[in-house]
Amino acid sequence: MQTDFEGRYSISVSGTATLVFSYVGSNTQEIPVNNRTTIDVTLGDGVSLEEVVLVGSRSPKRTSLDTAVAIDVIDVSEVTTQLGKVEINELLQYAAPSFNANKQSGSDGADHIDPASLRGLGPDQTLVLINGKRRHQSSLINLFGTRGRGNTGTDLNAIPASSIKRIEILRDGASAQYGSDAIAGVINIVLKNDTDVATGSVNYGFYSTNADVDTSAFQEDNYGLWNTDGFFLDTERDGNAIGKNKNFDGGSLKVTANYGVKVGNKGGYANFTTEYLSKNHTLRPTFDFRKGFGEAAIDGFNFFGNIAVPVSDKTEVYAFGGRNYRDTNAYAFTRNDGERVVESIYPNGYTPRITSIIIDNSVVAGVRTETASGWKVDISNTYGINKFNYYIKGTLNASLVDVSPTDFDAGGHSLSQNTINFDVSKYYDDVLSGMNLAFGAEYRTENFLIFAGEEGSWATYDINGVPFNANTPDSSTVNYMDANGDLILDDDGNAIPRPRGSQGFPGYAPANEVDRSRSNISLYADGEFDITDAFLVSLAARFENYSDFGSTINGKLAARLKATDNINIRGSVSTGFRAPSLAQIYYNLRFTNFIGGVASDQLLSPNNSPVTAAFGIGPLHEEKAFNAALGFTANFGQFSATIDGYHINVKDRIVLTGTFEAPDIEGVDTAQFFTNGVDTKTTGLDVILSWKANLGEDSSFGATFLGNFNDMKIDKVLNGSLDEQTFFGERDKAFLLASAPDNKLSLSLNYNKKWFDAGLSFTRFSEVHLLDFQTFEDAADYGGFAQQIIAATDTYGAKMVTDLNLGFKISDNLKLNVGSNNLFNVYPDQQDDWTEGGGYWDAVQMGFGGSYYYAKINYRF
Amino acid sequence: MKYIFTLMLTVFSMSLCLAQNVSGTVKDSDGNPMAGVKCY
Repeated sequence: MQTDFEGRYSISVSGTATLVFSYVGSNTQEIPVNNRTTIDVTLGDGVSLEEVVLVGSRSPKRTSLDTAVAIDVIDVSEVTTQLGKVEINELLQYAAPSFNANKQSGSDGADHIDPASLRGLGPDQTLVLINGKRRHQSSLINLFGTRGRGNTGTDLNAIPASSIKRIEILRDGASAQYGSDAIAGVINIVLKNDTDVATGSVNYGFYSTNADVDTSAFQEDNYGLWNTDGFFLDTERDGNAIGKNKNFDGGSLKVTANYGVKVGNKGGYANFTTEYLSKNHTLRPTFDFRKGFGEAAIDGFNFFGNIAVPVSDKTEVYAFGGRNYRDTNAYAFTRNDGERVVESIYPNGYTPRITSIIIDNSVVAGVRTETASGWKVDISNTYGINKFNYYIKGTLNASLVDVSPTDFDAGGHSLSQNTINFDVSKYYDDVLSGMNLAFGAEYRTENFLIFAGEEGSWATYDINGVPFNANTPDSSTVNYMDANGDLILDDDGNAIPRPRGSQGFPGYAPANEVDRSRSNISLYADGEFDITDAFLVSLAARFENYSDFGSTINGKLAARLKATDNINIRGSVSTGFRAPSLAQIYYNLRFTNFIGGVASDQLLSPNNSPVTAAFGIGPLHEEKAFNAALGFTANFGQFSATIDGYHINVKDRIVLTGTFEAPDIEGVDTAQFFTNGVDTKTTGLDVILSWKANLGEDSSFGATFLGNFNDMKIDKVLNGSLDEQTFFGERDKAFLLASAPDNKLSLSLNYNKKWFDAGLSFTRFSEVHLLDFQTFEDAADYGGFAQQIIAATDTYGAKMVTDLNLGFKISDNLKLNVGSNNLFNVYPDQQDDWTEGGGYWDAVQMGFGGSYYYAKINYRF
Repeated sequence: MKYIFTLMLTVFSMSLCLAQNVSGTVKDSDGNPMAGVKCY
C-alpha cells in the first residue's frame, strides 16, 4: 500500500513481520513490527532507486512486488560475494527458478559459448537487455546435439559479473513491449554506478576428478579407462600421450576490480570494471575415441564501463559498453588410426583441439531528458558485434600427408547489430490512481558474416599438393597407404581417399563466405493504468517490419489486483514473435567430394538456396507465440511468496533438419536445412517462497525455496511431404524436450552474523531422457524401430546437488569465502559409449564437472 | 499438478490468517508528511 497525503498508512501484517518503507529518491527502511500496532517512520534522502524495476514496466513508479507480471530481482553484488560462481550463467542457474545452462563437450562452438534457456524454450527465445537496451546476440549457431540445436543465443558470459548491480528477470512474454525474442522472458542487466569505492575479488577454485564410474564393461584394450587413474590424457602435448594422474583439475583463477568516480556535482558517475579469467580443462572418464572429454579451457579478459553525465537539472548524457576477449580451447574426438591419421606426424593418433578467439564489443550512447510538461525522452544508439574465429591445433590435413601443417586458421563468423531507439513516457499521478503512457520507435540493422579460413583448413589436395578442382583427374587423389606405399583398401576393395581440411573442424571455404544484412523498424505504445489503488491494468502493442520476412503486430494485456494489502493476484495474455536470425537464414556448410572429376556436395543448405527450395522448404518466417500467465504474490515482511503459472504456445519454431539424400539434384549428394518445422506447447509453474528472520541485533536467518515445474510437448512436426524421422526425428525431439528438466527445486538456507555468514543450498533436478547415437544405426539390428528407440534412450535419474559457502569478515575491507559447489560430487547417471559428447554422460542437469572447491577474497576500499 | 495446487492454496490461506493491523505516519527528514511511500 502507499501513504496518503498526510503520510498515513495502515497495513495488515503478522506480529513478527518486518515492514519495508520505500520511496523513489529516499533510503529504504526495514522496521520489525515486534507486535506493535503504531509505527511512525522518518525517511532520509538517498539516491537508492534499487526497488524500481526497469524491465516489464515502463512506469517509473513500479516495484517488483506490484508489477502485473513475474519479475525476479537478483542483487548480483550480494550474490557474488556469497558464492563461488564465477560466470553469469552459473549465477542465474542458482538464482532463477527456470533458468538452465550447462557447459557442453564435443559440440564444436557450443563448447565455448554456453547455450542458456528460460522455461525450457530456446536460447534465442529470451531477450537480453543491458540497462534496458537490447543486447546483440552471438554469431554462433548451435549445430550439434546440444540444448538449443539450430539456435543462436546471447553470450551472457561476455558480460563481467562484477560490473553488474542487479539482474531483473521478467518471466513472461514481452514482445509487445520489446520486440523479437521476448517469448520465454527478458533478462535485464543493470550496471553498477557506484562512485568513490573500489570493490573486487580474487577467486581460485578447482574440480575434483574423482568421478565414480563403473568401467568394468569397457576394460578391453583400455577402451573405457581414459581419464581414470593411470590413463589421464596429457594436456601439455598434442597427440595421445598419457600424462600424470590428477586428483584435481579445471583450476580457475578470476581477478576482478570495479571502481567509479563522480563526474560533476549533479550526480554524474563513471564506473569501470575489469575482469581476468583463466580456467583449465577438465577431463572426465571416457572412451579411447574421445580422450579429451571434459569442459573447455578459457583465458578471458573483460572490460566494461558505465558513464552518465548530467548536463542540466533535467538532462543527462550516458554511455556504457565494453570489450570481452576470450581464448578458448576444447578437444575434438580422437583420431586413433585410419585414413585420418598420418603416422609420421602422430604415430599413435591424435586428439585435435578446437580453439577459438571470441571478441565481443559493445557501446551504447544516449541522452535522457524531461520536458517542461513532464514527458521523459530517451534517444540512444546501441552497437554490438560478436566475432568468433576458429583455430584448429594439434591437427592435420590428411590429404597433405607428411607435409601437412598441424595448426590452421579455420575462419569464423561475426554478427553485428546497431539499434537506434527513441522512447517517450510520462507518468500522470492525477489521472485515475496513476497512469503511465509510453511510446517510441526503434530502427535496427544487422550484418552476418562468414569468413574463410586458410586454404589448408578446408581444401582437398591432390598428389601434386594442388587443391582439387573440377579438372583434377580422379587418378590424382591422395589415397590411404601403408608404410611401404601400398594401398589400404576398404571392405569392398576400393582405395580410401585421405579426407580434406583440418581434422576436428574443417575450416570455412571461400564458397561458404556470406556477407548479409537486414533492417527492421518498429513502433510501440504502452500504457499502465492504476484504475484504483488496488487494480492495475497494463496494455501494450508493437508493430515491426523486417526487410526480409515482413511485418508483425503483437499485443499484451496484463492486470494486477491487490486482493489485500499483502496479496496481489496478477495475470497476463500476450502474443509474441521471434525473427529468424541471419545465421539461420544464411549459415551454410559445404563438403565437396570429387568422384571421377565430378564435384558432388554434402550441404547444410542456406534458406535462400535453390537446393532448399527443391525440397519444398519455403523462406524462413518468424516464430509466433501466445503466452498466458496467472499468479499471485504474498508479502508479509518476513515471508513472501510468488507463484506463477504459465502457458506458452510457439508455432513455427525454427529447427535444423536431419540430412536428406538428394538423388534428383545434380551435383548434390545430401542436404539439410533450417526450417519453420515444429509447434510446441509449454505449461509450467514457478514458485518462490522466501522467509527471513532477525535473530537479534546483528544476526539473521533466511530460507528461500525456488521451484520450477515445466512440461513441454511437441504439438506438430511441420514436415510436409518429407520423411518425419529425417526432418525432425525422435532424437531431435528428445534434445528439444530435454532443454529443461521437468522440474527443478531448490532450497537455500542462509545465516548472517556481523563477521560470519553461511549458506547451504540444495538443488534437485528431475529425470531427463536423451536419445543417443544408436538412432543412426540400422533399425533391423534392434528388431525394429520401437526397440531401437528403447535401446537408444539414455535415462538420467533425478539428482540433488548441495552447495556450501562460508564467509568470514576479516576486516571492514576484506572478506574471505570458502566453499564447494556440488559438495557431494554428484554426477548424472552413467550411460554407455553411444552418448552425444562421447563420454560416460552428456551435459544434462548439473553438468559433469563434479565437486568444485573454491576460496575467494573480496575487497572493498 | 495436484500437489502444486495444494501448495498454492496452503500458502494463500496461511497468508490470509497471519495478519494484524499496524498503522502510523511517514515523514521526511524535515518533518513533512510524505505521500505515496510504498509500505509492505
